Amino acid sequence: MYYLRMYYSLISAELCSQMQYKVSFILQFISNIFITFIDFLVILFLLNKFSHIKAWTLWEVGLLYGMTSVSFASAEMLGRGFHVFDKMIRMGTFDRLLIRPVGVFIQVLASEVEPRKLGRFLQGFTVMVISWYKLGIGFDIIKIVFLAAAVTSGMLFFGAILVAGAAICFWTVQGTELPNIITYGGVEVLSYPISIYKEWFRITLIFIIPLAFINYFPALYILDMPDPLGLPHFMRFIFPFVTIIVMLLAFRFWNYGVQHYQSTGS
Amino acid sequence: MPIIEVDNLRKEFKVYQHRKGFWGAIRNLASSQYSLIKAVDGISFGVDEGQMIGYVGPNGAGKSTTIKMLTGILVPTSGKINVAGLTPHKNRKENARRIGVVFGQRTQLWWDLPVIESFQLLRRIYRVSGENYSRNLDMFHDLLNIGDFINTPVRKLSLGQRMRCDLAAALLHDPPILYLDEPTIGLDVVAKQRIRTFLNNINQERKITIVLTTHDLADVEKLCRRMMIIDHGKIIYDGTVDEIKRRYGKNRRLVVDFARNYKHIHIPGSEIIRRNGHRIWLQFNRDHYSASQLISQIAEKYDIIDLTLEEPEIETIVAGIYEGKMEE
Ligand SMILES: Nc1ncnc2c1ncn2[C@@H]1O[C@H](COP(=O)(O)OP(=O)(O)OP(=O)(O)O)[C@@H](O)[C@H]1O
Ligand SMILES: [Mg+2]
Repeated sequence: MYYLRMYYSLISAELCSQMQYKVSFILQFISNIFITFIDFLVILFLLNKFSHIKAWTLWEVGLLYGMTSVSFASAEMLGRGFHVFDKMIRMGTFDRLLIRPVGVFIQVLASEVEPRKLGRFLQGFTVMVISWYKLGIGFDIIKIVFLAAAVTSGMLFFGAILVAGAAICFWTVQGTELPNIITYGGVEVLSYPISIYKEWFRITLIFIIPLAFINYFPALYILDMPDPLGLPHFMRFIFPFVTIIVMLLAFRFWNYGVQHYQSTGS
Repeated sequence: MPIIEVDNLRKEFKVYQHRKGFWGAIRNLASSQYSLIKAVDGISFGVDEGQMIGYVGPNGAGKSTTIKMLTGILVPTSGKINVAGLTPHKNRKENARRIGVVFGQRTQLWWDLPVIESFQLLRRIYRVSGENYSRNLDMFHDLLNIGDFINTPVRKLSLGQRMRCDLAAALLHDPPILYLDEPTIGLDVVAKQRIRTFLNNINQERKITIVLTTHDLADVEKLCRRMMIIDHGKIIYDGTVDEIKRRYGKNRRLVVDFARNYKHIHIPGSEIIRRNGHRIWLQFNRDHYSASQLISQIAEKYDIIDLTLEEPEIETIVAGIYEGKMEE
């Protein structure tokens, strides 16, 4: 409760600050709607292109795409503080978080928000809903809850990558491309069913950087599909544990990084 | 009972050459090519409750690094810190409740928000009761005159106004300890004076312990009985301001204006350090000669118009100590 209140206070302050620059805020919002629209066109084009990929229908792929989009857009919207964390290190503003009696994790989380990612979120959500409808799954409450859980889990997974990426800045000072490769790259890769990839790459996506648990395995359950890869049935249910492990690792790494914070010379 | 105790504290920074980014950092971790900067090199001291202490030293001496370790921002390389029973970097949050911090170079306030909103946020962060909050705000109105610009966004404030707001923000939660890193940097004479008066006031009235770094020795002279000088990470002086003048400021100066132009001037017990027309500057040791002895000697031999006695300024003494040519 305390953390929620703290988050609310700090994030309101951040939003008020953004509103101070009304013109730029509105302009950016408009340009984002435009970009999102173009994204839509790209998606339609893509959906047409890969209409049938190895036994996957257009709308099955649409569901995969929608799930990652919604997860990633939410993570980017809420986790922006970690995404641009290098700025905080370089400008030395991280110092002031450390002299306050609140955990630094929640303060960084509440330091930035990107409402403009809402467009991307809605786009993914629409694709997801249309696919759901076209697949004729209907109002299956269990599957809806399952989908919500999978998407939330995916958001936390992407969030954990942003946190780990931010922690690297405690050593490098500048931001690095590594988290972007995993997140943006991951979103691209997950737009297709992972069964289409070469074996070594599939193994990477399942066991090393387990992005497959963001959409592939949960989708198998929703679609009542036998795994084209022939992996055991339980794989489609363990995504929450995978996410929890990834989050714990990221959080540990973050705390370790905080201990190594060097501040700036002036 | 000291409220702050520091024992053999060290902080080293590893500085690598030109390797940035992710792979650079990986290579840095693996390589042994770095220079080690001993920013703070084994310092020990204690600060008593209610004391106001001036912490000075040339650029890069290690003042800010010390403050950052005391506040829990930096983890020391080695050594012990005890602030009111806590180790700052280990009990960071608890320690944060008991301290106020002002970094003169950088504001702690929300840049784009009106000052009052920063205060309200801090009030929530530190959970200050409504009663204490309004009592403190009233006090800041009176002593710092912040009422005129309390609804202005921080980015629009002058440096002096911003510094006053930062001071108020640091004290909102009634911390018993206040750390100030260059709180008078870049301020004009009047603004400095106002801040000094305020600091003196809260130190006297509220018994707040204050550690203050500055490059303006007038701050120290006007506010602190005790001063510490740090250089190259080591404390080279720790004592009263008066003591430093007694110990290092033995050379007084006498400026004499003669009525005529004397070719040869010789005054036993003193040394001519400068000469400009009819005016000369003499330096003498206060332990060997009194000013009156010297003056009567001069008056016997020469016609004089005017005399000025210059006491050694703390500024000069400390500059001498920094340059390493001050003798006891
Ligand atoms: N984050 C850092 N990384 C590397 N070196 C640092 C860092 N912070 C400080 N230093 C170095 O440590 C030394 C002490 O710096 P510090 O900022 O404590 O000095 P200071 O006494 O506050 O100086 P000034 O009066 O200029 O503010 C300097 O040589 C500085 O370059
Ligand atoms: Mg400094």
